[in-house]
Amino acid sequence: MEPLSAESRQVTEVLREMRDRPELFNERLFPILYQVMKKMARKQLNNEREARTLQPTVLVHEAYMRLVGSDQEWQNRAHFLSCASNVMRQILIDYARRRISAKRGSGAVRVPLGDDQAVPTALSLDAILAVNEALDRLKEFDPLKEELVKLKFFGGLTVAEVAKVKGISLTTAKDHLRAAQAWMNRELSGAAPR
Amino acid sequence: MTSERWQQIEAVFREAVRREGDKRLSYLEKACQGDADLRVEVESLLASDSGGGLLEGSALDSLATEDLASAMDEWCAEPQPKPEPQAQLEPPEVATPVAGVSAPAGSELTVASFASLSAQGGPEPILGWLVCVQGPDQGRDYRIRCARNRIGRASLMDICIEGDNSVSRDTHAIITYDPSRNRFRLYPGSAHGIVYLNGRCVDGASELSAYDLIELGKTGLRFVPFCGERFQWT
Repeated sequence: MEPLSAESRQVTEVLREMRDRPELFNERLFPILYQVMKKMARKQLNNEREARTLQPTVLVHEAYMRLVGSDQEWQNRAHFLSCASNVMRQILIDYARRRISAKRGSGAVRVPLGDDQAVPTALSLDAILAVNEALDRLKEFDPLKEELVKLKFFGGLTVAEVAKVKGISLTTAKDHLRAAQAWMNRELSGAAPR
Repeated sequence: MTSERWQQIEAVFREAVRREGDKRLSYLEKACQGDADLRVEVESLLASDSGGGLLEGSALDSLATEDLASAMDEWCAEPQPKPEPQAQLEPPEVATPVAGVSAPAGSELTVASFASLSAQGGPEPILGWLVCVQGPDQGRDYRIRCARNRIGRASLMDICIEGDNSVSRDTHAIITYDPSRNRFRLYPGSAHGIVYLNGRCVDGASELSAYDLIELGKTGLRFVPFCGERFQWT
């Protein structure tokens, strides 16, 4: 695997410097990761005959392995993957906003899930924006759950990976995610009590 | 909703989902006694506890394939953000060449011809170099290519001094090249670090001459112009 020496040093340095001030991780790491991940994605696209093979989940994991490496302590892994999830979130939200704005003008969206709350076969761009807005509201009173949902939904991590990077047990992660999902489902379907 | 209220709702919800039918109802009756709003909140959450919904998977797996591919394509195609202009700096002047510009005999030196080189989409022409003569990156050279070159430790800098931790990450100093006057100038950057030119602290625009010593952090750089008295891009 080709190392990204300059960027890797930069990311590792930010992770080290910010260890005692986790609130600054995203502020410091996000712009670096955003550019580095884009550079990796561009390279990957250029190397692929079929441009549609770019896998965002692979991008998140590969960025971690190439920039930080597997021998980092779990706090660094958590901060890195959280920030990478924010990058993916930003990419998808920006795209959804552009598309929706171009189609019918911007505005708040409500996503009907149907009476049986069935899992949609494919998420719509409206749904992406609605999830994003609901996550912002969730963060106001339960930032841990917002973080867990973000890692899973926008970072593409499995529940086991989410538990590992947050340093909690799998059972605890599942409990948090179940409550978060119930709350999000309720918000997104407009069924919250007034 | 406050964090405290949510914790209360969640605690009852977590216990309730472990129970079914009458046992759940009887638990809710007991846990929400005297708090009708709490019961409404918990029951609406239980009704939304489908074990799935939008968040069952990930947006990266569940978003329509075409949308996800387009989002990634558009992101990759986004241009790199241009550096913010700094108000305190004099921008390179775009004007006709002034009298007195030294140039090789027979050359037609114009601002337009320089600009066209940068606008062709190919590599920007070399304007000069910095050569590291002291510090962790001693022996390394850096190319001066554009009209405004930010020097710092971050990889996004135009001139990245990556081996010296005492150099500020973001814009420790700036070197500009003014094609209309065919001259280079050194400015202090927006970071806290101080930059020295031939041993003197730089606190404003300072014109650069060949082999001047620029010091920032533990790094010393010698300035080697390519454009100058003997050459200018035409």
